[in-house]
Amino acid sequence: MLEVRDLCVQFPSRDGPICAVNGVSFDLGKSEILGLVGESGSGKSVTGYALIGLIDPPGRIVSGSVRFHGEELVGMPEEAMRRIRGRRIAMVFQDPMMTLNPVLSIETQMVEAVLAHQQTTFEKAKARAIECLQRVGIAAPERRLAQYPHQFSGGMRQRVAIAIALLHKPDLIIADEPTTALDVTVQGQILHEMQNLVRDTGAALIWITHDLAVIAGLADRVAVMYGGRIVEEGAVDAVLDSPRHPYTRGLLDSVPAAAEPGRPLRPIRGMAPSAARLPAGCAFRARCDRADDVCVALPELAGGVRCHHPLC
Amino acid sequence: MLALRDVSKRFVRRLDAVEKVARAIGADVQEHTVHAVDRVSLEVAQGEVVGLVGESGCGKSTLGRLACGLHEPTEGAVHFKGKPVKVGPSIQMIFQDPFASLNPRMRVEEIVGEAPRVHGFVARKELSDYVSGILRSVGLDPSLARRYPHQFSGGQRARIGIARALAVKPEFLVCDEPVAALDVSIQAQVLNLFMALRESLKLTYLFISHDLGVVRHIAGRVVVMYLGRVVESGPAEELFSRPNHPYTQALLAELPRLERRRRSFVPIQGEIPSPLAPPSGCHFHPRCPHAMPRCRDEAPPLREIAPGRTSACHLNTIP
Amino acid sequence: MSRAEALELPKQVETPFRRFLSEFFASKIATLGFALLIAVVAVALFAPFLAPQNPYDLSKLDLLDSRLAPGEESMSGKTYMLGTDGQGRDILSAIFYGMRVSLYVGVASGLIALTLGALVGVLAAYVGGRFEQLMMRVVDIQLGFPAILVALILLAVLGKGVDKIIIALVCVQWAYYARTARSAALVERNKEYIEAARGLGLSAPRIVLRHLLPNAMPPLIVVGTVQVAHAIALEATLSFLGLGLPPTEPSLGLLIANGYEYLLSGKYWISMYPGVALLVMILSINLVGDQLRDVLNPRLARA
Repeated sequence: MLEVRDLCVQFPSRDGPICAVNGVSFDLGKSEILGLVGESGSGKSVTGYALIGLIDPPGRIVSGSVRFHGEELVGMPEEAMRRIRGRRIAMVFQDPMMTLNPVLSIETQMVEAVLAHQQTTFEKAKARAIECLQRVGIAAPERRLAQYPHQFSGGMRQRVAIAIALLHKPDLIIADEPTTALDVTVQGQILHEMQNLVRDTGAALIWITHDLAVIAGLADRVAVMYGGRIVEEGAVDAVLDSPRHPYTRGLLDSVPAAAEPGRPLRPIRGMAPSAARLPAGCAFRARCDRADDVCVALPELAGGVRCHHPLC
Repeated sequence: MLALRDVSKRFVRRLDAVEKVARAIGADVQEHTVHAVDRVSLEVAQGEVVGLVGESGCGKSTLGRLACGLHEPTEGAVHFKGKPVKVGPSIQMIFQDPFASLNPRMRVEEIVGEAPRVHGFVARKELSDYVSGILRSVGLDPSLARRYPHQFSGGQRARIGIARALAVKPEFLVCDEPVAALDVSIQAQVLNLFMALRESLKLTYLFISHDLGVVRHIAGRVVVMYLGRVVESGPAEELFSRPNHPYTQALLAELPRLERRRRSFVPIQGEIPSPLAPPSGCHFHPRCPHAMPRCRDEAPPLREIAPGRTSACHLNTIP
Repeated sequence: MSRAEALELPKQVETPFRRFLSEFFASKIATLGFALLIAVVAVALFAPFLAPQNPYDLSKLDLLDSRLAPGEESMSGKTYMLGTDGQGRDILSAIFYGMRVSLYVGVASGLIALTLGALVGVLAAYVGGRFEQLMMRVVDIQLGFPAILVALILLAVLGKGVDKIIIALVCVQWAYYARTARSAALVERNKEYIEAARGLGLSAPRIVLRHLLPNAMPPLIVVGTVQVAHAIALEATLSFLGLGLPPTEPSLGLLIANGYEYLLSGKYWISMYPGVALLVMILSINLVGDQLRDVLNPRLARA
């Protein structure tokens, strides 16, 4: 359903263009959940924004292709993109207030969202809104429609944002760290709803996060990003149980649960490079114990891993 | 070493002049009271690492500030080494936000060196060496001391915050979510730093976090809070493997873990109530799968269910 | 710290000031405004050297030279570039000296009002409680009166003189600075570095002066530049109405007033050129102030 090939997104800066996303490729099919994992600066969020065409100038997609149901999205005129956005591809952001307007009631916002893509009556749009609110687990939806975003808690707001994403039964949902700022119990509720959704509607889901544990529980496949590139990808079990890229291994070792309580963790030394100052070749080599002169050349993505010296 | 006894903290937003008039003419205007902390007793022995966990609104941050004297308790007393706690060098706080916790207009050497100089720990001419030593001990290169905070990464700023606290030679550190804003790999580095410093400087920690994984790793004893009250406490390993209170059980069940693949998330019902209007009796009863009528009427007291373990639940009183 | 980390950091110590400078001069209009401002300040400072004539030295004046048009040659052979006024003063020189007075009054009153207002505002924000309420009510009352009215009344009581007009302008302006300072300080007060300073046991005066005040400054600087322009305009108005400055030390406003009676008889230059000079002065201050606001604002959000 979704084919991404060699996507590159650049942002200009005082020191020259910054390649936030540098040759990302992956596929996604119906009802699949892909976890896009990386730390800050890895380019994971920018990838998500690029897929739905939300890269604002002066940033732009400089090369690559995104084929959605066979249609090429890169370079598509804004009018056509608008028809797809919200209807067939929907996005959920980390901060629900990026979706919700604080001065409009939920009813106004949701009905507006329905009518933007569909010619229908107010009553029918409202009914659809109530249906979607119920689907995301909001009790007494008729009453809550009349309320304003500030009357909802953080978790509820995020659910409303997800409900809005669902209004048109999209084929693809892109979720950018939607539960990072929420409590564990609320996160559990939202993950539960998302799982149901994917199962019932057949939508595909890209879940962008830095939290490997969430991906472990939720996703079918995972792609690990570093320095704007995918460095490892594969089925969740394969990648988490036997990671092949040293960075993935390092991430897994950094999680507190990986070591015995009280024993030091084995973190990756150094810091992630900023997108403006990516080293040539393998971006991870400055921090990698296995790096040598070969790594000055960029490794290709082969067999799901991008490394000259993969583990095992 | 640190003892909080029956400490409560309430924040009251008083009515201003206009609202007082409105109330006088019959409008339904109330004073809002947030029961941030409700009759909490807690003790931390020297050399311990006590982890304080809970979700938003549970009052753990407020409790942390009560512990180091930044807030005054509305009721109850906080004692440090036998005497009432006051703001001072022996008990320091490490803050969460690496951006907002450093003065953007001060150089790092000033940030770290100001307090020791003002308090007279260190003579002016030795200050530069002293600051360099502290920076080295937190893993920062002393040659960067003349730079400003915005020139450092999040992880480095976290270290500067730790350096600032260490510069006044504290005995006790209250760490308020110090790694929450950091990437996983940096978080691991900073956690290792905390553990190493504790060893080398013989520190005692009250470690506040919402991240159970982190707390499990670093804490010896764990205290769980919900809406201003302590609901359970005990040694970390025991509490995590055999949680007693239904809230702790739900929290642990919800926690995503690397080993649990493609699981079905079964969430607990309901939302965290607002601290402005907490439920009566046991605060958790609207969401508790085992709730009884008694739970709505009577708040369960925190009682010892095993040596070193306490829990506040009526289920424990049923034989 | 590994080599990888060391490579990340910029080579020189980038003080906030250096970063600010590069951002400020990124705009051409602001650079133009700044250049104009430098020119204005230079003229004001070096007026005695630059002006062809000291217009207030009565011994140098020649009544026979009065009311000459710009460029017209006088009977003694001197050419006055911008003409002369009713007493034979060279308009160009008068403008130079006038700029001096205008700028001096504007900047002096601005600085004093800023210091006073900033201290009151930051202290109010830090101390809080009744003191803050009281101070802010005083500020509100002060701001409720139109500036001109207050200045008029004060000057009517105080009389004429450069120092009197500065006092009047300070009284009119301090409240605005106080309010801005308090808002900025309130935002900073809730940040964790202030809590940390308290936790370290630093004294309240130290926290207010060393931590709170420097961080509350950016909005004050922006307000300050705009207010200086305001003050200059206000002073011009007051002088035009005949209050405040004595005729021996006229500001641009007084010059305009002096030339008013000649406007209808066609001798426009006596009022117009000082008017243009006033315009250029205020414009340059405003351009600089605008860019300052833009540069300092997003940086507050970023830093």
